[in-house]
Amino acid sequence: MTQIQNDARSELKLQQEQFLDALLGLAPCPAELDAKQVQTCGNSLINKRSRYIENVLSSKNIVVTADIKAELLNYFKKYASVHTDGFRADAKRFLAYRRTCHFMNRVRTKFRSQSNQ
Amino acid sequence: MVADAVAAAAAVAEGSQMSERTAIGIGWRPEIAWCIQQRKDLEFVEIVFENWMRKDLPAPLLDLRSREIDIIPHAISLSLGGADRPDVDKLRKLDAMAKQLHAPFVSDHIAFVRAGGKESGHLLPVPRTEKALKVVIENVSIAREHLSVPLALENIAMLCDWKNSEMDEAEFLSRILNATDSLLLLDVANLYANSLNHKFDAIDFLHRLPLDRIAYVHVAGGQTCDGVYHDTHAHGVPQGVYDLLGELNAMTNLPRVMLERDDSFPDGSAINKELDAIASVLSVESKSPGTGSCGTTNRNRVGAREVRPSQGSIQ
Repeated sequence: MTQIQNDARSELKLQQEQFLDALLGLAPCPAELDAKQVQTCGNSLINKRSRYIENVLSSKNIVVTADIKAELLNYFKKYASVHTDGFRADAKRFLAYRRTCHFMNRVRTKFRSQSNQ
Repeated sequence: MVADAVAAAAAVAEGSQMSERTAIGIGWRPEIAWCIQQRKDLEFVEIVFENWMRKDLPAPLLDLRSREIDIIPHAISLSLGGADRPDVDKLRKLDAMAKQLHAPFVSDHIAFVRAGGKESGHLLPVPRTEKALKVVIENVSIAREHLSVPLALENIAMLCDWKNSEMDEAEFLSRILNATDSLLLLDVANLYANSLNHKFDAIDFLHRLPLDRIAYVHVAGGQTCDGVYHDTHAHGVPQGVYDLLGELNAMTNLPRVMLERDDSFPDGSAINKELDAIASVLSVESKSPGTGSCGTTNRNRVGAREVRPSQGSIQ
């Protein structure tokens, strides 16, 4: 029984990993799923993540500009899946990512201006 | 054994004098706490377990408990349909919350939310095969072993589905419920979404479920985008969902029905209208603020058929 269960778990694990990777745009859609449906579901996930993070930003009185939307897309490229602790942690991670990006941009700008002098 | 959960559901209903009519509830969210606080006919609320797993429950929620309003912890991340066995630590925390709140039961979904160390952020469908069925049944059994209250399992909305399924969702769900003696959290909005997107008969689906296992029912809104219906919980409840609820109500005695709203929260009057519409479908008198029923018992059994719009509802 346990062996059967373990085999079933292994098979399910592989199916679910392939599904999730396709959903997150990390791998092609497996044959057992419809590519168009997976894409719709993946877009829905992106929208859900965006909405959650934008709500957090709004609660911090940060206006969601086109620049922030672009940062969000870059963030989703870097972190394809939601934080393992959920959406709230995902939003916190985005804020940390954004701070790091801004800091790096400032360093680059300063470096360039010093190089030009 | 098989009848245990059904008997437990009946006992819960009888204990709260709900055996002959339906209790109405709502998903408690901080954004609409003030609206919930003032609505006097609500008999239960549902909270998202994960939102409060690591912090103290808020005062307005505990106040509801002091008014003998049942609070049901609803989990979204146990991943009972996942390849891994459920996290025992999380199950213990869920059980502790259920005990703290004197919850009649807890709930989660037949879905998976993580695989290969990645979180989906979405409730995803399990391939409905005999092998997967065994895994889910074992996962649910493990969960039940760690819970001191019954577990209700919810059907999910699926934007994508497996082509290699060996059975349909009604059979898959029924076999899990019967094998694990679990209760059913029937989401009519999810069923409505699936019946539209995957083109099947929702009424036929309902006929094939063990309806005597229903612990409660979810009602929620959504919208159609590019020909696909999305169960967003951020838009109004479409008439089709109310119609399905009406059909279900005609088929069985529903113990509890609740409204879910998770985003784009409208003003209080819109929430009250949706609760009133649910009450109307179920033929339960509505007692939203301003109807003169505030402060009266919330256990009255009533049978008014007509819609009672909220007068002076909270804005």
